Amino acid sequence: MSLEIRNIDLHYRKRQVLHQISFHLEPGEFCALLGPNGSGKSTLTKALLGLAPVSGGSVLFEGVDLLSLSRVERAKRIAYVPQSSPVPFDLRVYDAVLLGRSPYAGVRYAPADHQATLRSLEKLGLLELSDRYVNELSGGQLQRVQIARAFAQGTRILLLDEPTSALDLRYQVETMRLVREFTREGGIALMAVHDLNHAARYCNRSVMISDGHLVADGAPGEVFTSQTLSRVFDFPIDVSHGDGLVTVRPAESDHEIHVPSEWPAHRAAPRGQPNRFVEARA
Amino acid sequence: MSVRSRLRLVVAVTAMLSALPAYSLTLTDEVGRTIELDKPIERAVVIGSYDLDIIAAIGGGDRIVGVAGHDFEQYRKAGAKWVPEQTVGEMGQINYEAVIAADPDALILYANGGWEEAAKQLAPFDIPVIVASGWKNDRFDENVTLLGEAFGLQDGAKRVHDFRQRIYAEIDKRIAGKAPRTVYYENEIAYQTPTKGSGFYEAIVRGGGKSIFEDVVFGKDGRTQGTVWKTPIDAGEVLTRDPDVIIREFGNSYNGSTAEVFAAEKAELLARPGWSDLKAAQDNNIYIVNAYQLGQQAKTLTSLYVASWLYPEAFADLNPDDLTREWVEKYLGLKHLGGDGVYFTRVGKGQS
Amino acid sequence: MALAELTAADLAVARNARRQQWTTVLIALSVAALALLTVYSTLKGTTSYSLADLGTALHQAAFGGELARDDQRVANVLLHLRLPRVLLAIFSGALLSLAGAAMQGLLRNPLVSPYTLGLSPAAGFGAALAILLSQSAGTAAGPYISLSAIFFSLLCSLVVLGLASTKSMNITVLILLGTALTSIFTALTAGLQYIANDEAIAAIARWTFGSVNEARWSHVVVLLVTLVVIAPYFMLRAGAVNSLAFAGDDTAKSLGVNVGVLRVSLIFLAVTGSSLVVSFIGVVGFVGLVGPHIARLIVGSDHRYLFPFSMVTGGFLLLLADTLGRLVLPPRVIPVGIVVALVGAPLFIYLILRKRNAL
Repeated sequence: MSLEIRNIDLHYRKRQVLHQISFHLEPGEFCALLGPNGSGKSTLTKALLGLAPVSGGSVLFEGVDLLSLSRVERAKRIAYVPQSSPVPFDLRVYDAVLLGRSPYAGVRYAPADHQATLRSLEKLGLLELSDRYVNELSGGQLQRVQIARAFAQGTRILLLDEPTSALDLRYQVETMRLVREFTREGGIALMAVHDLNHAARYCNRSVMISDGHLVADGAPGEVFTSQTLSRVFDFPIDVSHGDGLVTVRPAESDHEIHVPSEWPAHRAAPRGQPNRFVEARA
Repeated sequence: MSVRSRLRLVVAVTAMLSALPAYSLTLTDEVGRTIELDKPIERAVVIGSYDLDIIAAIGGGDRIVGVAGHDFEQYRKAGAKWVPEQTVGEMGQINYEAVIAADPDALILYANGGWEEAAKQLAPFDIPVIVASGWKNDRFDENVTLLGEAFGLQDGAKRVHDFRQRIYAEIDKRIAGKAPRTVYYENEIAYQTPTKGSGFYEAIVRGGGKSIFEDVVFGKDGRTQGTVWKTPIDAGEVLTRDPDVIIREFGNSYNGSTAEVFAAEKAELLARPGWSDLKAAQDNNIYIVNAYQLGQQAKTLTSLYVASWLYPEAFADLNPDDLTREWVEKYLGLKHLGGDGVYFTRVGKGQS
Repeated sequence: MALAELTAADLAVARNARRQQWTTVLIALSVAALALLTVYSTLKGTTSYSLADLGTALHQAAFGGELARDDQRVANVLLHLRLPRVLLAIFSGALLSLAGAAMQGLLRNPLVSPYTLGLSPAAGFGAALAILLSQSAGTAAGPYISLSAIFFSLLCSLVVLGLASTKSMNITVLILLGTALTSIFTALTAGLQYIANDEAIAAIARWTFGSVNEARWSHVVVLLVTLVVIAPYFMLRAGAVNSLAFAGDDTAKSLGVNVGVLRVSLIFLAVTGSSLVVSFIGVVGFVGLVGPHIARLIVGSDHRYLFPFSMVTGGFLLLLADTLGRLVLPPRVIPVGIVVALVGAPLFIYLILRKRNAL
């Protein structure tokens, strides 16, 4: 039942963007996908959704390679929540969530599709808003609609691409909680995210990507160390553990950690040798 | 007599006629189409004022039962007895229902009047379409003959031919052996002139003139193509080529132009950079023209006036207005309003 | 609490059901209104006729038979002038409006249409070129006009959409490219007038403002067949267009939509359909833009309803404009393109101003 990502390679105009990315996620895992801008997080998300063609590797789930499935079959197994963006037309919340049922619907929606839509609206507390137009909603409400659509899609896997980046704190926290709730019910979620503290607080798993290589994989409490984060983000970062929480903050000059510039993580470990920053998972 | 009973009568007469040995008339129109008529045209819808003039001149004016709205307005000013119900839309936007309601024997229009569409639309109604571009100077004689036969008015057509030959003979007699004088003709829009291939250009040449833009030629057979009657030219070249006579066409109405309009045009022309120093301005040889009358007979009258303006000494014994009066009153049956001061005026620097 | 949630869900279900019923009623009413206008426009004109006249004409068309000369003329006017004209207006409006609705959804922008992207002027140029070439070759222009119009609109859409895709289909880029291409093709058409003769110029000029004055049954049949062929395909893909229009490319793909094929196939059909219209009636602006907008105001943006309803509003709009053009200054016929532009341009401005988000 786990999601196995195996040896994903991806080239973009002859340049290799992803190098042999491999990890697997179990039901119940809410995994943060971390890395600096341009590291390949979004590309990996798109690759897993089948939006960007991979040059090698597979994504196994329940014994089938998701990448070899038809679009519609894949859409029944994996749902996507993008960054919230404005909708150019007047669309009611109800219909926006109903879109999540399109992999199952032909020309018409079946009663089951409406039931799934209603359940999803209810779960996200959107029933009262279901007649409103999405372009009248706040950013946070719009993001909730997108999550509701993904939930209505009825998949076990949820991919989210920086869904909180445009939201204020309250909606960021709310989004993280909603996704955590999804995984607690047996789902698998992989979320590209920038806020390390939110990742540490809500995710029970994290993978880090730097320059197209997987450089760290493990629970945030284990992987979030000052050295690893500073190296991945090429920037001095302090990590403190207290009250059972991991807190991350930029290091200030009075206790700066020196990061040698010639020390990007993946180059430190020659190919073919185990990367010492990738922690083995039991 | 009600419409219905009148129609019955027409049907009955037609039936009687068709029982007789068929009167059949086969015509070839301007674009080479063959038209069969079973009798001379008694009712015609005519789109285009040049064709209206020809038909009136050959004696068929009272057989015109439908005209374009624009022509209707012009002829109403001239005293035509048509009623608004006889209008059938405009050239290019013909109201076919109105054409059919007028119950004509034929529709007559220009080659550039959308005859292909008209022929298709009217085919189910057995209304033949005859193409004759009355404005085309080089087709004038053929078109007069064509319409003369179509209306069974061959005598009238011959009179029109003879009148036109008389005008040309008067011109030729007077300009023979004269060195061509140069003309700049401008119509409606500043610095646009008719070039080779346009009727006005040929009319100027026929009147003994030489266009200062005779070198503008693009297209086949030494003619300019496209909108030849208003080809834009370089404003500076007018000054460089300094024509003997300038003709500025402005307005096109049976009523002619008012003194105020002529004065405003004169002020505009002389205010153009460098124009007051032009030979034509110094010699009072700028003519401001209302196109209505001079354009008639496919611009034959333009040639006449141009010749008289270029070689006034040769026209001491002939006032073009006399020939124009004869055309308008005798042939068109309209009131002649005059010449100088109505349809044209002569201006220049020396006047003021 | 469970009770309260249940009630809210029930309410949502009820509201949704009521909305669908209302939409169905509105569509039925609009179709009825179009049918009424069709009959009115067929009967009303320079001369007006009765329903009985129309019945006689249709009866004769279907079953043959002899009519008195007077009645025959009435029947001929109705069958050969009025009906083709009325139907050509409806089908042209329906095709342009459907094309506009599809393009707006596919490009995720409510301000695009065959006209704003420069496709109509491109088709107009293609038609003008065909007229010119066939006249100098001495052949009949007929089918070449349509083929040439389609070719140049497809070329124009390739250029506009190709260039815009390098700027991620940014709407400002799209509209500006459309404006640029409109200028180019308008200028090219005007330029043709330097090398055309009088007849070709006059024929080309008739394309400048669309008119159904020269309607022929053959035009009506071609457009009807086109509609019958492509409209069901649009309907079939309406759900996919919903995903793309409302959720964007990536999300639509994640919902199982083959976005590339969807966009290319529907835009190809939309461009082909609207250039056929242009090749028959000339350049008519704003129907492809305003038609879908009126439809959206009435039935909302769901393309499963929007596509069929846009056809109704587009057909209604063009027929209304042509009927006005015939009746306002009889017996003069004001080209439908002029009436539509006079009505459509202010509506377009209104739509830009009321848009919640800036361009």
